[in-house]
Amino acid sequence: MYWFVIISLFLLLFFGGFLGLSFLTHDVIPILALPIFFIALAFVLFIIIFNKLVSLRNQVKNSWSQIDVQLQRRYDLIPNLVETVKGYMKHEKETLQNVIEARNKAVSVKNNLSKEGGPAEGASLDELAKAEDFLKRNLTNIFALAENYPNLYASENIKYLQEELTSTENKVAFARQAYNDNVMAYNNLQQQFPSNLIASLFGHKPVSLFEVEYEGVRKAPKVDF
Amino acid sequence: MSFFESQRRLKQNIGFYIFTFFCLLFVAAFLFEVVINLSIHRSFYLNFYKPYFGIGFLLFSLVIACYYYFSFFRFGGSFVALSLGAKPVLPTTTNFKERQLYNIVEEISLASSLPVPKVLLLDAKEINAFASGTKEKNYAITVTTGSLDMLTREELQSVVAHEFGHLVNKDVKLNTVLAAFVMSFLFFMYLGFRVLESSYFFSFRSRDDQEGNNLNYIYIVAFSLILLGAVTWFFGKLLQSLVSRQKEYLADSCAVQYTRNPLALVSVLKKIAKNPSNDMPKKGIAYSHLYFNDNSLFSFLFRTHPPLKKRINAILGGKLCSK
Repeated sequence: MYWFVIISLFLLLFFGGFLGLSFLTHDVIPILALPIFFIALAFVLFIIIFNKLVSLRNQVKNSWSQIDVQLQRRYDLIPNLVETVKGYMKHEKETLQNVIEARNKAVSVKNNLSKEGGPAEGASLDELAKAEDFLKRNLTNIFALAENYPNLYASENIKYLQEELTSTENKVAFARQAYNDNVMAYNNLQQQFPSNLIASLFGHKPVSLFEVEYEGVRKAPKVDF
Repeated sequence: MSFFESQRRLKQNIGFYIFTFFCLLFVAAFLFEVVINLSIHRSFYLNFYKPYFGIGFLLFSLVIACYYYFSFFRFGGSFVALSLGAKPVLPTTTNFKERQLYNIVEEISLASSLPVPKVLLLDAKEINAFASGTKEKNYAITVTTGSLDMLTREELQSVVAHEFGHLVNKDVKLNTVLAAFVMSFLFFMYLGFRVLESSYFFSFRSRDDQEGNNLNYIYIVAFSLILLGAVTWFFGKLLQSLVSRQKEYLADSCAVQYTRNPLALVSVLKKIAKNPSNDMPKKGIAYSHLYFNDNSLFSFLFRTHPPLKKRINAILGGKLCSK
């Protein structure tokens, strides 16, 4: 992008006559031509970088709120899931209860985060990641146990339910991924030259990634049969 | 090479081609100026600071290109798909496969930070999809029924992600702009032929007074227009297809970024290579540059998509994403 602007300004300066813009470089005092070029260049670059920074900041905010929305959607889905499965899995009350508890815990952690308004410090994001992982492992438990109940698998409902759950899991994962991608682009622009000058001038601060830092999550959930 | 790195490089290539495209426009205008001046002054005289004919050429091609640009997409993004006979998929659908498709589109729209576009289903047996729309409001993604039947969930996800890559990079818009300019080049050729045609009548009128001069002038203008139109049309078309091919790699790279699943994309490409069919509606040939894969026969110079084998090798060989 930058080099394109630089080259086109250069062309305008030296071949501007061809476009009928000779007043810029030839009719004005010729000594002014070079300063005009550099000032115009700096101005255009400033506009591009400033707008890019603002749009990235908004994109980071938006993708954070998307994580929020998708998590809420998932929390709303889980009671429905448990309600549907309850009738079939009468002997697994404990597992279902665990899922509900994990869900409630994750909701409370997320609500605490949302009160702070947007992406806060790294520590609190970590807590959410932990709660989320706990919930996810409990959910996989349900589907592992569901294989013991042929009635459940025979019903059409479970197909739709599984699709919804897969999609919800994907949505949560993709929302996080998009948040991290956007944060990376935003942080990159803040730290690279020459955009770092403008970023520091207009109060852009590095944003922390939504990372999973602790040991347990790295391991794939183990399912026993 | 990570996909961020590869995207940066591909964007650089595309920028270079676009720059060359507009240089072509300027060179054509410059040549036009030279030719006209040559025919008027009978010498290599060039008024470099008042090139009215060159500017006229540029402005005229700009006006023609604008006309074509707005006539191409007057009806919004899903118009293309609807005109091919595609049916919209609603979020309230109860069909399992359609429900899955809509879910996948929602997922990838989250991954790519775009609003959810319209989703359409085209009745065709081959595995294909296309994105259309030049503004966020009228973005649309069309998938064939064949790809719903033949692809697994992950594979369908990477097809949709590829189309989202086109939307994010505003490929439809760029391609329309380039196509509009290529059309304006073609229009110059047409104009040259018309001038040549009308020069027949001019020759009657100017029989008495300095006939030789006038006639020559008209012929030179006509032939220079035809020649310039033909040459710029050829190179414009060439650059357009070069851009289109780079954009396909870029969209593949974006698909890998959104799904983080390069193997699913590879298996889609392999599936298409295994059962080649050309089942898309014949009406849609004008939009073939939008497709996920383009089977129609083009010469290797003007084809809009790189061959499947090259796309697979680019992904597996680490050109688009790390291995």
